[in-house]
Amino acid sequence: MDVIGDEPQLLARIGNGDEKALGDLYDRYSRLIYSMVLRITHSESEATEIVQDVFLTVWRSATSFDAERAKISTWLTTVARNKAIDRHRTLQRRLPEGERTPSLAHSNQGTIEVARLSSMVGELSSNQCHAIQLAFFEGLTHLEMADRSGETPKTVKSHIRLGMEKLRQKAKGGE
Amino acid sequence: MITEELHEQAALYALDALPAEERNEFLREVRKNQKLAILIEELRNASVIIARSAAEVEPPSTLKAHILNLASKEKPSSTPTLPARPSHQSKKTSAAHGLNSLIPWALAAGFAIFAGILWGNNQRYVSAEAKLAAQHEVVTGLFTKIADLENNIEIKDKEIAGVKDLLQQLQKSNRLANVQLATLSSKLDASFFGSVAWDKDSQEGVLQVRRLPEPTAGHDYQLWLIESGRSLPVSAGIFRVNPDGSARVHFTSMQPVTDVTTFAVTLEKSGGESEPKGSIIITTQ
Repeated sequence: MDVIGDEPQLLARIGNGDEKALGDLYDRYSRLIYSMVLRITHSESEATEIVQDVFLTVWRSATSFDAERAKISTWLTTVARNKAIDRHRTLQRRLPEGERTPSLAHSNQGTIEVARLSSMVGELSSNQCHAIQLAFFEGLTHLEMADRSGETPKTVKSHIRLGMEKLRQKAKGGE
Repeated sequence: MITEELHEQAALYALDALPAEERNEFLREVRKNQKLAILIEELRNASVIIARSAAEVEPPSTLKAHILNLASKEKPSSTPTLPARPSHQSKKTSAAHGLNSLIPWALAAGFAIFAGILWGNNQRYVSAEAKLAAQHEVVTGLFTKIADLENNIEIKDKEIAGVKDLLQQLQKSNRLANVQLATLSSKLDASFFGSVAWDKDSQEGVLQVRRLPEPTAGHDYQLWLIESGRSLPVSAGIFRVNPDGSARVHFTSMQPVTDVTTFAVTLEKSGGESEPKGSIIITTQ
């Protein structure tokens, strides 16, 4: 789904104040960004606000992004994920422990996500999927994951390395 | 080379899951290791696949229009405006009435200034955040560049070591005990490189160059021998380079020289000059 060929031009148009170009970029990536942020924050209003922030950030700083060197999809997901995880952590800290959102890693939704990731990248074990998704969607370090799962930090590290390597090979081979 | 441990740290770093206490040391390693910097970039690109594993949900249908509407109001030149100052309806109004009528305006102006300050702070925060994200990409690029330069230095060090080895071997064999060896480098471009073997007994030598650019039309490279105590360099002739910028040239001095301290290559008019007039391309230090 990456349509990166024309992205340097699209970014240049956005940098020149072309609102239609911003609309085109929104059409291309808003669903991906919104779905990811919603998964992290579990809040439609938070997700909406963050997607708005991300695209306005692009609008304000498109000229500072070097689309020849880096992928816009990577930039957008990185900015959105950082915002979402920061916002989610801040909100969670304000809640009493019993009211905090539980991890979805072992819920039905988590199982579906593992299946989706496995179907996108063959040969990814469920342990690798879980570890990667906990890090990505819940912002956990490998030590926190080990603490929750009862596995050793070394094992968790290994799941992440092997899983990410398969993802890297997949991304290099074209999605 | 990327060890298994570095690979693990790279995967965690790409997911922002590397603990802070390991991060600084890891980044120092990234600065030295170009392959590692590239690996991180690729792992970050790969993380988009994880984002796609989230259940797909359409954003609210009105969001696009709302963002475009906000964007249209946020042209870079736009600045928050304060409400216009109230006009004086009558100069003859009493002082008390005048004071009372000013209170709401003062409150409104105060609120507007406060809102302006908040807006400005928010803009600065958002802009700083965007800058940070863009700078992250730049930093990754710089790591790659640093690693490139370090690789160049490594290659050059190897070349110098090779020349020194050759000198030692020759001196050991005592065949060329009086051969003077030197390396030439450039302040214009770190990749330009040359080495000279000069035999003062026979007044001849060999110059080897690598990665020199093609001379501009109507120009040639010229080698010069500079002696201590002699005011002008002595020409050792002109030479051309291969398409890859390399050349191996056998040369002799145009005048007898005894104590060459410096070798230099300049870019001169086609056919050469009797004394150097062009830019120095490479020279011994």
